[in-house]
Amino acid sequence: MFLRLLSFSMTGRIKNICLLAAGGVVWIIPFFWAGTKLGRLPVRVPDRLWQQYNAAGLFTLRCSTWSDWHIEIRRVGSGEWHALDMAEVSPMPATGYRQRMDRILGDTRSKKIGESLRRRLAVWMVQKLEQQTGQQVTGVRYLHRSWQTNTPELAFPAGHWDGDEALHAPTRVSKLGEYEVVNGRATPMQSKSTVPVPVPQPRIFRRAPAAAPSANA
Amino acid sequence: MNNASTSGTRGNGLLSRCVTALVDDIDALPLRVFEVLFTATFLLRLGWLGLSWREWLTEEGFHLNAAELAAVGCPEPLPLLNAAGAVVLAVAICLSAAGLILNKVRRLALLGLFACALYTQGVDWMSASSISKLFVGVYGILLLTPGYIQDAASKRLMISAVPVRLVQGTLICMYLASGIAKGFSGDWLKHNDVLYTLMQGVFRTDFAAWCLRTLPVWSWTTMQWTTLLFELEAPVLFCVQKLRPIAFVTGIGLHLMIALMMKNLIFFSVQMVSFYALFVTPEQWRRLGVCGRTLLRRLLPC
Repeated sequence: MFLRLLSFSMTGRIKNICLLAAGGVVWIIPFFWAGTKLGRLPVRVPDRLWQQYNAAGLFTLRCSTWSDWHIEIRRVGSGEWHALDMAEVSPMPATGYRQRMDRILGDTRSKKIGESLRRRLAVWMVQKLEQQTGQQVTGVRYLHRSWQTNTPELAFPAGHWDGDEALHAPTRVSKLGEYEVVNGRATPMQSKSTVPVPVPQPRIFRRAPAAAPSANA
Repeated sequence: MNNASTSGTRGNGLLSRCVTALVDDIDALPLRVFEVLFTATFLLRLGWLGLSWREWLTEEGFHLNAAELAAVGCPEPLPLLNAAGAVVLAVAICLSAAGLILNKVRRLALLGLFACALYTQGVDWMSASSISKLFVGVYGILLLTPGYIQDAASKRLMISAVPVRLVQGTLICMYLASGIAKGFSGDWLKHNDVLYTLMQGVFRTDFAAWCLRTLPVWSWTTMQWTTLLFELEAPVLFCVQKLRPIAFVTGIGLHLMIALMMKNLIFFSVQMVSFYALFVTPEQWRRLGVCGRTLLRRLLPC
């Protein structure tokens, strides 16, 4: 049997069989396994390789809520917080109606790096806004907003997703962090005050007639 | 004894046929078409990302450092570029893509495309996605496997079946793994409204909004089950030649719906559909070519 298999272009065939086997072991099997989300492989795979394999298996979970990230800034001499147009600091779009910055903010929820990353990002944004628009900003805060699915507002939408448009759905707003930025350094504001600062629900998300803000600091 | 020997011969014959189908030289036309379509997708995707090249590739954008990336499971980032470096990268991408599309200096073109795919993914993990990973994987396969040869008798372009089977396997594994992840690691078998809730969020286009307003909830459940069944049955649908029309209609329909309903996922859809070129036989491609030429002659009589 093997003689028959090898009779045609023996060395070329062996080389091709080896290549196919190597392709299966190095690419196909780990790529498949990573995509199934059934867990890590029994052998240690470096992060770079694991990331490479982890391409399949998207949108696997039911979404009971949809959320986005929202940045507010406080200008010099003003006590009010203003919504920052994300495109001013991060015009690069990502998948969905999101910017690349949304993905970065999503990752700042990681407990391990969240605090330091948000501080670094706050300093960077203040510098960027000053360079690009001349705005003098002293405070940056990050909010996470979420909306329940299967509500009339989300299940019967008028058009595409638009986080900036009036969305009359009940909105849960939680604060990820609030920082004062002075001389290129970001300091958490909460550390100065023991009283939790309520986060008002943005006007456009309030139900008519205006409901009390549902803030979760 | 005779029966045993007959079944043994049959077994050997089957094994021999399998090995022949998996590694021997085959007509290269489907792979040529695939390379052209896949590279066009690569250009489309990088062109779109390139519109924001300053944020993507240079210090002007905010980039996570190595420690931050490690915390979210990503490897160290590759060095950023300056404006001149970005121009060099763009030229390298265009020249390599042209080389592969025109089948000139193919190996060098593949090396260029693989390096560019690897770099554009590694320089900014925050804009990388499944698409980027597939570009790296597929160009890697094409780079490391045997190239084209010309058949002496027919003068046709031939290639070892190895790269074709590995790339075909990538598509099938992509679907099957996604089906398993959805059905067994995810919620698709536990809830009937998974697709319905997915469409309500940040990916929702105007078309998806119209569908949400118009279609009954049971139709979303039907789409959910169709998608799941298609993904789980992909190995059979794509490997059995007679079932391929079902695979093509369902698969292209699925990707069309993704492209229409989910913002900016068109690149993923186009990339996945480009893999289908490998499941069309050389004879079918030739017939399509003849039809295309005839149609062009009718449309452009001069």
